[in-house]
Amino acid sequence: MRKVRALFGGGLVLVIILALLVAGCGTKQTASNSGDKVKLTFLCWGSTANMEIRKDVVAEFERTHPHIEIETIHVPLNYEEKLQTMIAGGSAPDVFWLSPTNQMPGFAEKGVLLELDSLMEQDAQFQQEKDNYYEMAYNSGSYKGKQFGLPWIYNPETLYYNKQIFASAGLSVPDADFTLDDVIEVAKKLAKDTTGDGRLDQYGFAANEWIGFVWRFGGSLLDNNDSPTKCTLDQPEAIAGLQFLQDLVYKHNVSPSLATNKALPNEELFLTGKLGMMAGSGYFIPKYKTIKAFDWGTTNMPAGKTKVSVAASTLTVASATTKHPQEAWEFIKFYGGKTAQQICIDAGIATVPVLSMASIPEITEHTQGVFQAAEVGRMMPALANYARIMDKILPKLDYLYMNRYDATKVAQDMTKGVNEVLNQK
Amino acid sequence: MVSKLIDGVQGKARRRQRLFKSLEGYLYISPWLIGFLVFTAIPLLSSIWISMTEWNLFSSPTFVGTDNYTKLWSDPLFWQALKVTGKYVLASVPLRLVIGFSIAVLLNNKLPGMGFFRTIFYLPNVTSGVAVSLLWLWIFNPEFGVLNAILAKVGIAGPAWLLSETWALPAIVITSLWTVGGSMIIYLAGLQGIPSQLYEAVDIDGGSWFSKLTNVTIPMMTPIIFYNLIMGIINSFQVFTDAYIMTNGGPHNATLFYVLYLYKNAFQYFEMGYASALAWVLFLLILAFTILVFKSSSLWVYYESEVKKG
Repeated sequence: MRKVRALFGGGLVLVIILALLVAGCGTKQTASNSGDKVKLTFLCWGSTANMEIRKDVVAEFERTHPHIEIETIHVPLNYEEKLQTMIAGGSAPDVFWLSPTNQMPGFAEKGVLLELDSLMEQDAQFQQEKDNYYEMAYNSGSYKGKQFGLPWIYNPETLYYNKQIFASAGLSVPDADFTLDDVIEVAKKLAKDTTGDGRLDQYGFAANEWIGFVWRFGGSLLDNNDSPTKCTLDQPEAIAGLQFLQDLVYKHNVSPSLATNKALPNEELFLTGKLGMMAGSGYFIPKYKTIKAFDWGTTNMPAGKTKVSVAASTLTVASATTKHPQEAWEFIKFYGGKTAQQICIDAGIATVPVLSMASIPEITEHTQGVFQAAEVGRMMPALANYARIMDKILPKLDYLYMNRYDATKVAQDMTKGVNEVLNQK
Repeated sequence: MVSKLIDGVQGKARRRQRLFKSLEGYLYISPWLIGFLVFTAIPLLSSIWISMTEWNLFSSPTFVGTDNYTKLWSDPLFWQALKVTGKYVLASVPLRLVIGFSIAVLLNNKLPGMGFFRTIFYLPNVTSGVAVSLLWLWIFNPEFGVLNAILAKVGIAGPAWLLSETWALPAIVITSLWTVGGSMIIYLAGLQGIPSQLYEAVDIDGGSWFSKLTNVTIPMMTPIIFYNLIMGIINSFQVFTDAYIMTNGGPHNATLFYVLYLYKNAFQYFEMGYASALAWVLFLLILAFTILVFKSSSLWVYYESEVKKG
């Protein structure tokens, strides 16, 4: 009797554990059709506030496409790890988001993404709309001549200014014709040490995107974006751009030091009224709309040799292993289309639509800069080895910001590192 | 003849009973066993295979034999990672040992407030992870951080800590010191197990507190010191979170810890094969150190239960 009980007890434990294991292990992606409905899994990131907007877009999509059902999987942290795990485990989401510069090229290179060209060509309605897209935004979805996604948000860099700081200094705010020299001149008047401790408390100007200054002085990261053979950061134009960044902190004394930025990034400095002008992504506009302490506005990016704005976008892409490519394309097209854009703009998460719309949102002083900058937007080249290349560049950039080496040495070190990576594959 | 037959039958029954008992045992530990096989043993063994391939996680792996291991040898960042991790182990392990032990000895007194201090010293061990690393990031900030502010009050111009190539690693070593409470608790337990007659013997012989420390406390504690030394070595070779959050290997690879470099290769550069090779090299390295310490233990570790001949 005891034996039987013991065996039964042990066996029961084993069965329970096996059952839990089976339940715990994810089930593979199956073409689950409830009735005639096609089900797509959609992986996305973002804050809880932005999730509400996503829900609205998805609801609208399901309403206008009753035969498609979307299962949204929201990943608040470690999006890339979750995505990699899903793909490696064979249950890739049907549609998901990717950054066109950081992530899409790597994934496209590995054959994980669905090529959209044939689906696009067959779609007559899309062919008519195609030209309405901002060229820069549209091209961000292509890699090596093939289209892998459509952008649903397009954020160029713009020049924010704090009207109160300008008023107390008796200066007029920057306009769309500002040059970099104008910026320096004005910033010097705005930078103040109010507490007398030898450190600036109010900064004149700060910039988030280093590559923009390389571009503004006529330089570039690579010799050819589509088939790069070498890094061109060691050219005099690029060096001039990098030197400008260093001079902002150490020669003109208008920008916060690296240590300050580690404690308070530029966007926080602007938010708390300690920064006169900031070159930053249009992404911050919805957040800054909550500022009550001072008035602010935006304008076009100041011109160096050229006028350029570092732009970023997010793509909706589809997995190469999806069982419903047509429906996935419908979703991608919808998210980057006029209806979804209107929802995003009304909700305040996007400012510039990715394509020109019949009803342009009212342009205010808050948003004028972003619209102006959208015309001169430029994105980082699509790099399949993005992580590796950035690991060669960013540590050296720290040296620049710490005034350890001048721009020439930093540029040469960066170029050497990037060339190593380019020659590897 | 009949008795032999009965013995045989009884023997068979006993054997079957034993077999039954083993089966019962295995069934009861089957949850853990399955977990161990699926999540530890099988991945461990397959990573040997993976380390001999080139695999970017999405396409099928391509077999490359020992290429990853030869690549390792000529990879300057591999040596940098070893150097950084080695320096950290050499600094952190002895410091943690000495400080943990000293605090335990101090707190082994029956004075009022001991319980309070023991709690205080152990508290950092219950906090963990990213939040703590972020906290340290703030403390070490050269311009706004608490540490440099305190140093300034004493007239010392604090260095750039995590932004300085020379001070970033010491900063992370300091961070590792705040969790000595864990080993302290173990030392305390050991200290309380030392028989008081031994201390009385020293008193009788007219010895000082120092004599007590070196002739009684430390020798009796060597098994526990041995344990903490091994655990300390194994753990400090695998430091990751602090490096990942606080410095991401910088400035300029001055804090490129081994496991951080492994992580980058696996999840940022998509080189699973190379990362697996790195993992196995680390395993062999830690194994070598552990064996070394074990072998040396007969020279300095004293077990009370041992009986020395002669």
